[in-house]
Amino acid sequence: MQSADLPCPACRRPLPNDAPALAGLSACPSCGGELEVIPFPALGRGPRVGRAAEATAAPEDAACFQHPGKRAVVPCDGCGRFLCALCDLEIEGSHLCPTCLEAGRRKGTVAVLERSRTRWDRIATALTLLVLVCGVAAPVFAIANTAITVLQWRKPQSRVAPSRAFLLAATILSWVLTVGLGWLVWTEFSGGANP
Amino acid sequence: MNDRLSRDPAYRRVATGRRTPSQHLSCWLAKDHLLVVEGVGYAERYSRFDLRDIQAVLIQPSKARRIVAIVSGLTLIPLLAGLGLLLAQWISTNEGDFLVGGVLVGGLAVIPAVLLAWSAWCGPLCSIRISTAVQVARLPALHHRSRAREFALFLQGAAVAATPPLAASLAAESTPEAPADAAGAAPA
Repeated sequence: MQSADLPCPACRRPLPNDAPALAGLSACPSCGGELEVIPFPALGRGPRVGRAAEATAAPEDAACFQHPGKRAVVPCDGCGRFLCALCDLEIEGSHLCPTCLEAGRRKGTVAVLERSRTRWDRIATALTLLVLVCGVAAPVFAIANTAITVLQWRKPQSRVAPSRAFLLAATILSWVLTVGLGWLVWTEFSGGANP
Repeated sequence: MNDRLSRDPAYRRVATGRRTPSQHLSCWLAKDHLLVVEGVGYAERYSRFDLRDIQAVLIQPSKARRIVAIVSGLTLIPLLAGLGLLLAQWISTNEGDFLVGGVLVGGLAVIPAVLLAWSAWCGPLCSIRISTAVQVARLPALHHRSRAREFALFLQGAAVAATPPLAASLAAESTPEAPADAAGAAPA
């Protein structure tokens, strides 16, 4: 299958769809705009296409749960139902049926399908800074940090940053600051009472 | 469900940058895909590119640096001329007003001078795009042309390692992955 040609980012006209010609390109042949193209092995292959489901040859053949006339090729790793090539959705080496995939997306158990995540460690860091700014209300922010850490600890954190370590560090720091501020206030007042 | 699906793969950071002071962007490479992370406030947004799907990386040189250099240079020349005149007047007359004026003009001249130094230091700028069979996506994390080129060549190497030869991939696609079980459907 041949893919659509690569478009020039400036004029949107197609560039030559051939790796050696693209690798030696220094300007768009249509608009003359400066351009460097680094071709990859997938150039010209087009989008990957799934396999077509095969019809069952004999009545004793294992059939797909959703399509009784189609031959089963693999069981679903989620529910165990037999899947034909059309229903087989392969993700990270696992085979899932559309129902399990949708359930996984809703519950957040399929990491690949997550488009965004909340950075609770950044929220905790902001609350730690508030401990410093609002000295009197420091215990409130420290308690809020602890609650965030406890409630969010088992939930998925950032996919790339060590969020759990930051979350824990922010909570510990907020308590250290709270205790430190409390001690300062205590020594100030007790020192004033007994000169 | 398979526990492997809920775990994130090991990532290695390959590029980082900022679009605005509050928007942090970075590119992370896993064994078989590139993950573009866009940090906005207290959330992260992810875009994933399978290395086997990337067809090309397009690097388009930008004129931003040249424009900044020209504008800064054109601003700096009259400011430096003014500064020279004021200092010459101060030396010849020894009046404090000329010195104050010289300090003010010199302070103003620092801004275009810093911009000019920045444009000379950072080298040519560019915009970089990843092209697949169905999309062309911009990677705002990379602005410097030399770094963008280095990144593209590194990604090309990773894609070559992740992509099986065409004949092998076609053979794998035509072979069924698992034999069909003799029994019927067995819901868990």
